Amino acid sequence: MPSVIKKERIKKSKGQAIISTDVNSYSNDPYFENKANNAKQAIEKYGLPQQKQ
Amino acid sequence: MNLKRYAYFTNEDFLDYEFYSEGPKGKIKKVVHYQKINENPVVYNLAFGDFNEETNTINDIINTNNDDRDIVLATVASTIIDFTDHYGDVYIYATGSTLARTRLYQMGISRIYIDIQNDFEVYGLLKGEWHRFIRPINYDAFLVKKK
Repeated sequence: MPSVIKKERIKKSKGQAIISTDVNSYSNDPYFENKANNAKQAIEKYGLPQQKQ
Repeated sequence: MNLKRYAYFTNEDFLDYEFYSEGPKGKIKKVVHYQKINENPVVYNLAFGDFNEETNTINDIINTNNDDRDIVLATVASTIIDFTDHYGDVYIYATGSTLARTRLYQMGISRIYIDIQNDFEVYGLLKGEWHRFIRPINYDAFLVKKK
């Protein structure tokens, strides 16, 4: 069945994305939290390019 | 960026993006999520995975083989444009959950590099040091920052 999005729920962003109230927030998703924690450890360990220049 | 990509959706926080991969395996929901991991300077982690509609969980371990890898990568890359339009010149960190996934990110960045190099700084992590991104080199992680 084709996806149907109600017109009143969407609008265009400045870029290419379509803003929709149907898009979930994944801030508390365990998978993404785990990925973020790993990334944080990597940044703490290796720093950032400008900090080393 | 004129690469073929899927239509993608975001919410008003511009941190979460959803789109559907379409191919022989059917329609697969993909999610891109940006999460702040450092405050000064500001760094966001870019994470990406498949949404499992049955378990309501996400992972990027499985290879969905939906014959649309380049379109998916171009779509993920496009979210960086929208994200930085909203959040400015913050660092965006990305790496795969496996070596193969990191190579996939590498391929995605390589494909768009010519188009984005004037507007974005791109770095690769190699042997614990950040270097300016050069296409043939395989890196362990990536940083992207709007100029």
